[in-house]
Amino acid sequence: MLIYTLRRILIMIPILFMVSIVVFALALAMPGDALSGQIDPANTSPEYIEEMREELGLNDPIHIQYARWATDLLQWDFGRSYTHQMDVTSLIGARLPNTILLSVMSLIITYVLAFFMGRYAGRNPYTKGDYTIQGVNYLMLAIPSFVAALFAIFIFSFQLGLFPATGSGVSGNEPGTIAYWLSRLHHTFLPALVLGMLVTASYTQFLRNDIIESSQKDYVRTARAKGTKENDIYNKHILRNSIIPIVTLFGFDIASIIGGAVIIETIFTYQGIGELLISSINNRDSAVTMAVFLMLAVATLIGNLLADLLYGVIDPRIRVE
Amino acid sequence: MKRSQYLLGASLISATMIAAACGNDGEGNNNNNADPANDNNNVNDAADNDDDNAGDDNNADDNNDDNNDDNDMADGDAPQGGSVTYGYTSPFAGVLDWSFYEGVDDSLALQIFNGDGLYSNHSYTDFETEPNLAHNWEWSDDNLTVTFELEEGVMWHNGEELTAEDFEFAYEVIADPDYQGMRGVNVDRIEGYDEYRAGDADSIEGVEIEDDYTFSVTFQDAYANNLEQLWGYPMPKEHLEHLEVAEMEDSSEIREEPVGLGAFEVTSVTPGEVVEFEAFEDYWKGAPNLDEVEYRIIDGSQAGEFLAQGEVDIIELEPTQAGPLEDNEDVTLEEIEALSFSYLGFKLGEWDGEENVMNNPKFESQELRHAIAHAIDREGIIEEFNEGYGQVVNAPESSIRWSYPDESDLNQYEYDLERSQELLEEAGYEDVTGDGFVEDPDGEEFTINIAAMDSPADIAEPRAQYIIQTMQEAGLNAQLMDGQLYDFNLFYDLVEEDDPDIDMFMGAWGLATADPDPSGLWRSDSPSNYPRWVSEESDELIAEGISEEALDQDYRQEVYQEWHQLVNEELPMIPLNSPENIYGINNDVGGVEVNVRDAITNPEDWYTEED
Amino acid sequence: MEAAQEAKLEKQAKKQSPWSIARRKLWHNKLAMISLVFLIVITAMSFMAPWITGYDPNRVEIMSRNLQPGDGYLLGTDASGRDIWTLLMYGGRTSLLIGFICMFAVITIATVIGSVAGYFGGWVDAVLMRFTDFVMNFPFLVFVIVLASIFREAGIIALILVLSALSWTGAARVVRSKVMSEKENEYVMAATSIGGTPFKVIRKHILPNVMTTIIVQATLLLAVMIVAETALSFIGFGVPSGTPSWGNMMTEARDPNVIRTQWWVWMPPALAITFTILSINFIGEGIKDAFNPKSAR
Repeated sequence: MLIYTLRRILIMIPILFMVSIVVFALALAMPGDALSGQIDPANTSPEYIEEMREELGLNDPIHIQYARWATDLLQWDFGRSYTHQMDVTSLIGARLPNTILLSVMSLIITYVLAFFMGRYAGRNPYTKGDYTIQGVNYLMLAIPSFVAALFAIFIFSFQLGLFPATGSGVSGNEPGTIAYWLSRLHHTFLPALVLGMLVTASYTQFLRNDIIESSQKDYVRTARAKGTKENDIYNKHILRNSIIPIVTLFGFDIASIIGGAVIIETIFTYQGIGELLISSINNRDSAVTMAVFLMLAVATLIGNLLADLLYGVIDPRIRVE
Repeated sequence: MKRSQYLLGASLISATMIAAACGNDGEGNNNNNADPANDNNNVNDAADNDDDNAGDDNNADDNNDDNNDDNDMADGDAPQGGSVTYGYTSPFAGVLDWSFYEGVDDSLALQIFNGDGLYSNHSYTDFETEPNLAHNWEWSDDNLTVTFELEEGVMWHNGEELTAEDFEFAYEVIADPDYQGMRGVNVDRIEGYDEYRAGDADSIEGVEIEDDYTFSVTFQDAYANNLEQLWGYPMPKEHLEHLEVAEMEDSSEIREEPVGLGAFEVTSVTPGEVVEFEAFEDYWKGAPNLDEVEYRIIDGSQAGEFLAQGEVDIIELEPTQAGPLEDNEDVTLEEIEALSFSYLGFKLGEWDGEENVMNNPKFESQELRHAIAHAIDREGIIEEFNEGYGQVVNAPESSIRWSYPDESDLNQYEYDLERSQELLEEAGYEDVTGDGFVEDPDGEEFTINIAAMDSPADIAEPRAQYIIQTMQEAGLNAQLMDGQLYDFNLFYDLVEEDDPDIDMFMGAWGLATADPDPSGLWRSDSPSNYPRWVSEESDELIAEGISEEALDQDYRQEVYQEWHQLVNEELPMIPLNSPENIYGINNDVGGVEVNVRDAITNPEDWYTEED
Repeated sequence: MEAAQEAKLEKQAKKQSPWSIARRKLWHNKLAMISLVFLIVITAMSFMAPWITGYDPNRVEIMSRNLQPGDGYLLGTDASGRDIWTLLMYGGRTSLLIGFICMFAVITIATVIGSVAGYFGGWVDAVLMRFTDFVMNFPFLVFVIVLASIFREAGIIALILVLSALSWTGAARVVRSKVMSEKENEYVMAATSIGGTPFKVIRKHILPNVMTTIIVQATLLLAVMIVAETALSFIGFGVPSGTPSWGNMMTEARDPNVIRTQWWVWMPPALAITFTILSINFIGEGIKDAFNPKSAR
């Protein structure tokens, strides 16, 4: 396992390198100077741009520029935001906790919902309850997250008045107090719920089918024949086996959450990384755009790695391949 | 008497105040809001113009007269403590110093923690300047030198006392060769400015300190509006003097830990999102009622929402947002006619770094410009997109100002597509290809790219589409530039840099409070002359308007009438309307007065009844 | 008598290619058929919009902004005074058209890459699959947004290209593995041994057998593409704002006030998108089921 892990991590290095090249190429295509954020992207005066390009070494050969940029990256220097007039690193640092909170909460909601719905449907297949859950699943799979977000706001925020429609709940309370955290959780719940929906549907489906399949297996029959209680059979034997594969999908969740977060954060004006990405594109703040893009790409990469590794733990055969 | 013009651009029609340019808005703000204790005239006038406000404002003013008998409530009755949130809808740039700031986004924060200037001006219809930081000033007989006597015991938040040196320091920063900001016009009339700016002098000759509380300023020429034009905000010398002027704007001393002398001091700044303030107990007019104030950026489309929920206590609203709140028991709406106008500008040339050059032949033809003006349904825009708030203007000036010209002498440019088509034909623009759109006189395809900003969110898009649609009906192939609306900062950046894709642009200007001098927006050497309109006649009239002769009010009015007629005829921009501003104030909060710029007239008087 | 009947049955059995079995199974799958009808109806209405409605989908009517449903406007009007019902159909045209075009483009790319990789194997396969993995490593939506913002001025064409260029990976992998297993079949080996060129072998012998997989993938992709287009348009990176599309119709709902008070502006496109996706998913499921020999129906 250790060797497999090491090998997988080593493969990451060339991939990271190529990812950085793609990001670099895109940065060259963005308006302004996406590498360091020093050139005002809205300034179109040719003299100004030429002067600044010369000054910043943007007229150097591409590979030299790349080397300089990559070196900066390795030193944790992502350039400067032109609109916010501050380092991209601290800008992202200020937004990241919000996105992490959103993702974690979304995962928790997903797991809890999928667990209960999947368990119920699996234990009571082909009943009314099961069909209801199946129907909900189909709907959750079909409804795009931004549409779901609108309905969620309409129903939960406006019709029922349960949750705030927007914001991340950061301001208004002294950070660290209980009220502060409650406000944040209160603000985060709705976007997290919407964000987790798609994944919830597939987990529920997976869990249900797995439970039904397992309940026909020999060891379950044996247990049943031995007079083990139904509850124990499901909880001890079946669920345990069915949940493990779901957990391994955690890595892929990271990837899907990243994509979803961009849209969900924008709709809920939730001050996270995704919202930052959209607003910096709209402000032509290319340095921020590129840094966030790079960050999200790396996070996806790590998510996929994690998924592979976890899968390797569960299914040893994969390591040999 | 008078004060120069300038702006803070305001987003079209709805007068979301904006940023962008220039010189005197600082002073405008200063005059306008700075001084609650003496600020009565200002708001009275506002009230006179606006019946809805009359009651409240008068009340507040009367109390203010007795210096610090704040509030509508009797002295001492105002609840102490608590926190109030002032909202705004566009991320602030974070340049928290008057000498460097550019837009309303930052000026709102500045008003809260550093609102006091040399004098305050109370009114935009009469021209009395009232004492503030300077309790007295006197002019020399030749109208060239003014001597200010400062209040004693005014404390900066860092514990230093305000002295004449802080004013001299501000003038020197702005006159510094490395100064990149836009306040130069507020000190460039001072004797010795040119030498200092060129780096040939160690101090500005015209600024003389007599003692800690007395200084004089000598001007090069006796203009009608020298006092109003003069920069009125001190800078905390102790706090900033170790910095190079070039690095000030980006320094943490200004962006993160700014020092002011207002009733509240800055405790933290989250860039672009929140500035938090706490009470400054040593405020020279007495400690404020509130413990804390927060200046927070929120999503503009939800301003009404937040206000009703109490997440924001004071905020300017779009007319469309105000409507649903009219019956809300938790919110009071205050309307006030705005000192601003919105317009549709033509790009006639570009800024060459020194002056404007009219080198774009596209809109050379005056008939063409007139034709386009006739193709815009300005009445309809106010009625339908602005809920009827505001009125059509035919001059680039707010309709409430004394200098607004006599409409009967102006072309009215009523919405008339037939007239528009006639004019196009006269100018040689005809549809040669039969595609429904006119070609230019050379038979080349003629398209018009219109740049517009994305605020206010709910009407920006349909309004832009409507303007484009009526132009297309007149036969003009108008399009939205890039098929998108721009974020407001980006929009002004593009306009300011004369982006080659822009043919026309939809902007707005907020005007300085008291003085109508159009120099800052219209002179051929002003970078904020966004249409890049160059006219000798205009330059002459503008100069005439501030000459010593113009100390005679009637004469000055005549000059401006003539200037407005010239602009109206040449039409470098199509003025659209002069709007009304609407502020929503949560009913738990009291002591708030609105003025032509914002609702931060006297933050130390704010109080909250919320637990 | 008996013999005749037997002959008839035999004849029937002979006729039963996998395709006709599948067709019959699909025909009896009520959910899939209802979905198919729904999809056909909505597509037809979208493309016949000019004959169904008299309103101009682009014209701003300032006198009739934000009207409630009724009174000449079946579903009310939006902030520009445009008829929602009309926009819904014209918007469907844009959204469905983009969805279909992207789907065809993607499935073509995926089929070519997948079958080349699967058929040739070896280093060709290695290179193509590493490349596929690499593209997959980027967060899809984020990548699309960044690319779309760079090519924003190019409009719909750029959007289609960007979407197609980034979404073929999953389908390519599936096609590849299917081709790999088909390749092992005897008839393919036979075809190769009598000198069939790789292109001919793939086209004549392998692809027909991979077709079912491709069709299933295509339905999935159609749904994904429609969602991607509408989501992108919704946040302002898709179809240019003047062109009606389901996503653009919903941009107004980024204002919570609109969500609350003007349900008729956003709910019709929201429901149209959801039901379209739902029906495509059901059709996809139905097709999968129909070709699955194990399923009885």
